[in-house]
Amino acid sequence: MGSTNGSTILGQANGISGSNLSDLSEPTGIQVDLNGNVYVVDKNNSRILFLEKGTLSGRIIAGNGKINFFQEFKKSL
Amino acid sequence: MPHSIECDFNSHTLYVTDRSNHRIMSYPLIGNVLGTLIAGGNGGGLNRNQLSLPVAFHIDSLSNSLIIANTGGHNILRWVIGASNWTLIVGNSSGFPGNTSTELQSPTDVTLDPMGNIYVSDYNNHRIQFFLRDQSIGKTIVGITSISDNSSTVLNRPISLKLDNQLNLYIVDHYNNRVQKFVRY
Repeated sequence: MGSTNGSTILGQANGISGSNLSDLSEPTGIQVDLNGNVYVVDKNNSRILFLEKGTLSGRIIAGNGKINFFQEFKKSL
Repeated sequence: MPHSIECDFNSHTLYVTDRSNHRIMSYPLIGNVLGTLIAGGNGGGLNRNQLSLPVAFHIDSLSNSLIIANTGGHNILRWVIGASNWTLIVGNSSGFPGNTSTELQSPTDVTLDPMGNIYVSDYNNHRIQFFLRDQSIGKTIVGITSISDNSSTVLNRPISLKLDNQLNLYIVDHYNNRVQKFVRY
């Protein structure tokens, strides 16, 4: 039905974490929109990355990369 | 502590997993900010009116229900919106983990395709399980049971998954710090 061989579309294929826009660090969640664009919760980088379909690195759409951003955000609600 | 959200844009409703309170709440996208209890909320446990560390879920509009990855119960549950109990879809109803084709070990996410088939990220078994609609015997479609490394056919604690509208599968491969795409053909 589908390939059992995955291609890495975000993060490093060898599993190494990082903080560049093509890296992830313990990602936890994902959404895919109707156009095939991807949104990833990049937990340890405290950010949400948007990956436009066909591109190789993400764009930060939420979070500022500081560890406590989401805790601070929660307090401000 | 909120863990994951899904939106139903037909009913303008936001659903949130409140993992540590073992419940799922709903909030209208417009207007009132007070939440409504949808599922669980009776403490963590394995009774049919309880959830155990619900992490993520899928909104199944066709059956007006939430399909819940009940991580601490090692099972996938259906909770019809408005009901006070769950029904078992996949896994052990008594909450035991395992790695056979009918068992799960800490499932962390679930999604459905338009045919009603179910895809589960079976986190601590390092695999993606596929269940044909209304069947409880799963097939491993990605990963190798109980094996973890960083090769392209193996996963290391898959935590979240989604399908696109062409049924390509996207997997958040947690401990490998990567997102893997598996093409449908």
